Amino acid sequence: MDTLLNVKAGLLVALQFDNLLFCLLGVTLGTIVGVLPGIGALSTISILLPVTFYMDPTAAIIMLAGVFYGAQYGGSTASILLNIPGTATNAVTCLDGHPMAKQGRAGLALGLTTIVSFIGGSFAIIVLIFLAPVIAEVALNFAAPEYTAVILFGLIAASTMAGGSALKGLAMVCVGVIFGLVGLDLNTGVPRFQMGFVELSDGMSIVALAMGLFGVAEILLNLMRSDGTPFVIEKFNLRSMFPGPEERKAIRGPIWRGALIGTGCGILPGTGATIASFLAYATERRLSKYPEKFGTGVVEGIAAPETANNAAVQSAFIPTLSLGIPGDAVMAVMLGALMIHGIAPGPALVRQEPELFWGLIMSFWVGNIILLALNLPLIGIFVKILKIPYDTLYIAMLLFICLGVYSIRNNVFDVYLVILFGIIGVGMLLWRYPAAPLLLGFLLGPMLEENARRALLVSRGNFTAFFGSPVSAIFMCMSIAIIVWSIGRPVARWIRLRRLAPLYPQE
Amino acid sequence: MEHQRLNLREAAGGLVLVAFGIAVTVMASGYDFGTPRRMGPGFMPLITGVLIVAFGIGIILWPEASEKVEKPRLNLRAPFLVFAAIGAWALLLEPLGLALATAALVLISAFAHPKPNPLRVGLSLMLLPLLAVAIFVWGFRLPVSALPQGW
Repeated sequence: MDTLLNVKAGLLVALQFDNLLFCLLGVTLGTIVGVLPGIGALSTISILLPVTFYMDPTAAIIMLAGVFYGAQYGGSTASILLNIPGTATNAVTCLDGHPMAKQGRAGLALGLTTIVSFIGGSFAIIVLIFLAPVIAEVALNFAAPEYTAVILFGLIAASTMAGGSALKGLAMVCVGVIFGLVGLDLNTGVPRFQMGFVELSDGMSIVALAMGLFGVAEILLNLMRSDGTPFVIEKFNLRSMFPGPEERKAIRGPIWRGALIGTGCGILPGTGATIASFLAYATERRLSKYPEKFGTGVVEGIAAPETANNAAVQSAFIPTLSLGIPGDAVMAVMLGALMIHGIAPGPALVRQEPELFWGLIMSFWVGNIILLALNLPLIGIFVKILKIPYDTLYIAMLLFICLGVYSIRNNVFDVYLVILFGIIGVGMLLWRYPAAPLLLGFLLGPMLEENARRALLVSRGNFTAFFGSPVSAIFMCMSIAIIVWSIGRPVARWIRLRRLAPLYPQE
Repeated sequence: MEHQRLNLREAAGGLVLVAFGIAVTVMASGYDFGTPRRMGPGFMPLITGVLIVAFGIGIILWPEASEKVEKPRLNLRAPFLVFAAIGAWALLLEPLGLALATAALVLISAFAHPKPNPLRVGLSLMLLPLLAVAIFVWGFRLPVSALPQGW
């Protein structure tokens, strides 16, 4: 009954006035940025990061996490009413959510997505409560070779599983590792890649990197795409937000399958909430008796992806909290926040910081309940937020980016770094390079070097050490398999095309 | 034709990566590589640099499957003005103080929008410097002056 005691203690932490207040603040802000297309959870969390330095670490993490899962609730609102996803994870919800709004069933769509979001989130939290401490317990016995293997697997999986070109993802991980190694080498004191800047001795600031790569780049993408006209909101009424018996029956299966798919995708590195929602939608269409109706406003088409993405954002905390290894960019920034507060993430976190660990998990429940209250009766207020013009928003965001980066080290140099990473970020967006692997490489690169160094020191330079224990051997083999599979495919296609080329000279 | 152009774009990206990887490798070879048993500070950087070159070449040789992609509108006004605004803020912050640096940021970045609205820009110009000073100088006690030195 250890778990029960911990859950109770965590609930007490989560219900402390400060933590409750910051949880409320976080989920409210999350809903707002979720509703607004063009501002995502990631850039909001990066912008808020500096503010949290003035806060207690538990409250800080509770608030940042609240923004993350709160945005999933808000995001479906824009999908349904505007046919523009509020955040990338709600893109699928447009397919059936917007047709429902056009048929005058917007209220039902909004109510339904909120309810299934709550169910999906709750399901993943229960899995988190039971699974995370177990994994952490196992991971406590990990030595350097196991860590090296797990980190390597995390990096490779995150860069190749997220869709798009595997080569680009892997290249971005490596670039991130190089950025992560900038500064004095901890073992030898040799300055690396500093280009003569003393300001880089402590390494590049993760806040500057995240803000440039995600915050500034996102603002720029919006500005470059938009022609300055405001959104068109579908007219809607909120008379019937609750699903009737027929709809309840229809969504029962999709909810369970969505929750399972979402939780699984959230745990695995690289496959986050976006992939979970697409998978859940595709699964429902395949299982459905009337697949041709998908896309015309069927309730299953919004229930499954909305359950899945909320489950995924909660279960993403499992590897992050139990192993200290983030699976996506938001989790990487979250870990960065912990590290800036002097808390070393890893399997020891459960024992060393039980208040933070259990308090955070229980705050998810509290936050989800607040979100249910915010999104059902108060949804009308959040819809009004869609009327805020983007030109007032992005200027304020830019200011907060500058102030936030500056305030960490009282150093203008970091603000120039934001410009550098902003330029890199825009270039990556235009050339379709994924940014999350770069951030993960940045954060995990130094950890990888440290663990590899230790493992090889113990094994006297013998690389078979990484295959010595079952855990590290399994992760090493999985990493190799992923690499072979993901790089092998384009190469095989190329060879095939070459062979067929003479047959189709005018291809 | 479209296919060709996309591959050219991809090749350009790959070339940038190769160049970056070569620069990293050259710099890394200046640090002690060490032995596997005692990894020097150059061990990881060198391996990573070589990998970047390899992945860059891979991207040039085997470009992404070219499905129909929406061609992004290349409007360079927005990036230029946004980066100029951030740069101006950083340059002016210490000599002129937070209020004026913020005003400069608002003014420059406002024109990054395709249709700046004079009323809202004017409001931001008055409110944001005040807000910044109130929150960060009076609230968080950021060690930066609100107004130019000597005021």
